[in-house]
Amino acid sequence: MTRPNPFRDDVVPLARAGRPVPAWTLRIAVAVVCGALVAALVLDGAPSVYLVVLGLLAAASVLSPGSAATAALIGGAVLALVMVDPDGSDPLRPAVLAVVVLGHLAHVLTGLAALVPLNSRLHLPALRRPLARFALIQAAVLALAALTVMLPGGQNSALLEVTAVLGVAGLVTLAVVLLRRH
Amino acid sequence: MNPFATPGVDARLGGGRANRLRQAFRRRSGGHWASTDALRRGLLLGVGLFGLGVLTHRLDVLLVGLPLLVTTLVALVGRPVGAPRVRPLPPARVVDGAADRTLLIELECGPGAELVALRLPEPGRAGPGRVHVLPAGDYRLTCPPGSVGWGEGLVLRTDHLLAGCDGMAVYGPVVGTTARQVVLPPVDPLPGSSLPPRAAGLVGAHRSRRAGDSTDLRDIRPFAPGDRLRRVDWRVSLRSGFPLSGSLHVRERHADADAEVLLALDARVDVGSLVGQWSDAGLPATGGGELAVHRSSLDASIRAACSLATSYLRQGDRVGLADLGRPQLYVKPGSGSRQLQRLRHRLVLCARSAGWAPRPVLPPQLVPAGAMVVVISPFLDDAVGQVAVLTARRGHLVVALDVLPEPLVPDDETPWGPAVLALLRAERRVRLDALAAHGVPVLTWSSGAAAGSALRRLANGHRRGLAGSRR
Repeated sequence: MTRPNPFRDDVVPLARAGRPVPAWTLRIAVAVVCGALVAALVLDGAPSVYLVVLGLLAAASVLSPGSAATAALIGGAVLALVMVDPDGSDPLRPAVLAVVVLGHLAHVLTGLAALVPLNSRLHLPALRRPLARFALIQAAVLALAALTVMLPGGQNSALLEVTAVLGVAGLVTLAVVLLRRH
Repeated sequence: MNPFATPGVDARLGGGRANRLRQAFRRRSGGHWASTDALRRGLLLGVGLFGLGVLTHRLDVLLVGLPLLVTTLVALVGRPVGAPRVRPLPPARVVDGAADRTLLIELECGPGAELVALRLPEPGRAGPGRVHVLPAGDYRLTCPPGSVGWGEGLVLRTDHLLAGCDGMAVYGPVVGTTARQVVLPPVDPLPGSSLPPRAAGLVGAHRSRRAGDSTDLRDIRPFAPGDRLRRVDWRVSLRSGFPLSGSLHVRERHADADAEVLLALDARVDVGSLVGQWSDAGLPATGGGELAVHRSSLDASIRAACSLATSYLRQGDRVGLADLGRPQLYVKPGSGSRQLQRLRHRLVLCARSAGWAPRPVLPPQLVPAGAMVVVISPFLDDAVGQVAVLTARRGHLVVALDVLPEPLVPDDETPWGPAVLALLRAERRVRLDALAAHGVPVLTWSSGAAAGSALRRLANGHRRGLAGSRR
């Protein structure tokens, strides 16, 4: 639930609304995250042609964070992971975990950077809620990943497979319903 | 509360049609919550990768898609609703330059909004300022004004954009409400200036040419019918042989008098210290309805006029104002604090309507008899000098106050820049020398203290001249 007032007082002087930094630092953060994403794939041994394409997509994400380049970058990173490990024998190797974290962070940062003019001033308390939510979701996802390590491997039953497919269909339906409601 | 609700329109159009029109207007003006590409990206990648991971039994693909899916679902569940309100609380219409001018903005962002990008004035710069990204919420934000100058202009325009969870929904951008303000020119009295004697009445702070009742000795002369006995100087009378052979002598004193000052402002040109920018249209921006933030000739003129008016009015004198380019902006001489406020408002008006005029005029009927006229101008043409000389020939004491910013910087974009500046200086020197030759002393305005001491020297010189003429 959103708090009605993020500050202690009802009247807040601008000087006390948090330290302002230039908004282009958000672009630098996007560049660092996208660069780290590509670097993780380099270390994972992805094909170099792919890496060139992903590097171009990373640059496009920095220059135009509101474009589809970020979606293509994350999708391309997943494809590179699949190409390195086609049979999925090591799904929790460091590169995968790095893509999980950095892909999410790139999604959040480009979403914010697309809204903020380059010459504006970004007050750091404005990033508190998005970053706290990012940390919470990542903690949950990484905990889930740790849980899967402890699960037994092998073939699942057909009933479980069908249930999983129905679950995905349910998620899609839920998203569509929520979208239509708003 | 619906900010677009108009009961009259609703009644005429019917509820449904009015609502449709209202919604159409909102969509056109950006005043509604809309999804962004980030939401579509999160939905596509989240559902796609998660589903692909499940179907292909790939945990790595599922794990990459899961946080995107979760964050998108969180954004959809907590999607902001309602119409946020960002508005400036109206500042005082007219403020003193020295007063606290803090601006107040009220934010009611509503539930679900996380960020607000708000345009706020930037200290030291005129105009609406730059965008600040702040946490959303229901609070009041205070900020300093952009310009520290004087004049009439825009002080705040609350353009804003609100964003929901991770920027997946936005409201706006909305061009905000504007707030304008008149900032009166600063009151900076001259340190202890004094005026040459001008008789305009029998009370005041200045020594008049006339005989009167002040304490300053004017003359000692033989007694004449009508003289009061208490004015008899017995010592001089006895020395002259009274009562045997000489006659009675009386001490004659000066009268105290008010001074009437007319500030003649030349607002036809407004130039800065960069000569290369003099021909640029609309430069500098002291006039034209914007708050002055830099020193230009018009800025110096207004500050000088305000300082002179304050100093003379504090002495109990009567001060008036005439705009040489626009005689209709004339203010009759008057005294008191209300006259000072009237003059400051009129100076703002003069600055706002400053600009080219065919030629400067100072009609004789605007100058009261015996008034001192201070012509405030950068003296860049002969016409204003002719006005000053003509006024001096009518018997007024005229002082020329030169407000051209110094040092002048030649135009560096042309090799003729230094030559043009040298020619300009030579022309001005000839013009100012001609003024001095016609009995119009020229003072240079650099600061209030310097002008005060120059005026005091001028007053003393004028007194010595009067004393010499009596002898």
